[in-house]
Amino acid sequence: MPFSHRLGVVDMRYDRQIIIEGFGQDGQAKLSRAKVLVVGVGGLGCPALTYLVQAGIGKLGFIDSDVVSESNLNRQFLHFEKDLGRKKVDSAFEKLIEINSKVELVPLDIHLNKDNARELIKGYDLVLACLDNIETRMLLNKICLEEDIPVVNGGIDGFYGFAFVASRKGACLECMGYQNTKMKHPFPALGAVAGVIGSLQANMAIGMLLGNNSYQNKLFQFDARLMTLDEIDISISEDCSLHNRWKDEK
Amino acid sequence: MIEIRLFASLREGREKVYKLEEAFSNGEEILDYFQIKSEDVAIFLINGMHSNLKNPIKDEDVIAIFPPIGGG
Repeated sequence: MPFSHRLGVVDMRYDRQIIIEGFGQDGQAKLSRAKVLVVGVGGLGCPALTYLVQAGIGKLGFIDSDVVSESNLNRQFLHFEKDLGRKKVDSAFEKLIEINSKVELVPLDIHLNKDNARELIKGYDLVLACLDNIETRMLLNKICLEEDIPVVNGGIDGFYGFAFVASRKGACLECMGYQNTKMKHPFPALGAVAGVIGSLQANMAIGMLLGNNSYQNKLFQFDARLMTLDEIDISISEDCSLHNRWKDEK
Repeated sequence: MIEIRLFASLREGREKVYKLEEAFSNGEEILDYFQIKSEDVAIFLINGMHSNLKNPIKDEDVIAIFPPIGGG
């Protein structure tokens, strides 16, 4: 008899993850109560959203104001050729609802900026930054720390990528000087690399929702050429203008 | 001895990790040694702490250098 049936749950959808040691029905209940916001429905947002929807997150918001263009199709797998010119949130919603109709999906066709960011993130337990520019990443870093909501960052460049959780309790993007980053335009991107990093973000999000805090103060760097995932310790910076506001907090 | 860890595209044509006995007074000298342009560096860490390229380097420091990675 499936594990979920033994627990009196009719839906077998989550059976294979419920039987993971340390996950269980309690873990599934935590995910089903969780509210997660994904900012960006591109190369990182597509895998992150897909795995969060399959895992059974209770409420999943996703923000993007772009339309699907041809140069997106090498990596943004929720968008098909027939979706060219459509809003990314509409295109993604259409597929995600077919993957798991029990998740509350909240598509937000809006550009996140300094005037609306605080309102948009409020009420969510966790934010995933699946962005393609430094300015919005730094804005999200600041507003999320101010609201005490952890941000799971991901970024790619060619054969390389990173994942990093920014939070008030741990280091943030400003702590490692990320604001000095100057992006290439257009940035090089491979679908298989975006898939790895978006999946890492989903894994970290699920882990954190289940109570795992071990990702704090660690920068994970993926190298597809050498096929390595390096872990680099990052400390809260004494020069971080954000963390300095809360340095006396216990 | 200092340890220098290079990441992502900075590894192309170079090793991942160097353990060097040379004395470097600051990050700029390290970039010169590896012929890395300062505009190709996004994050420069000394012992896990964000650092200016002009900050002093001392024996047994661990340096981590990252190029810009920000696409999505």
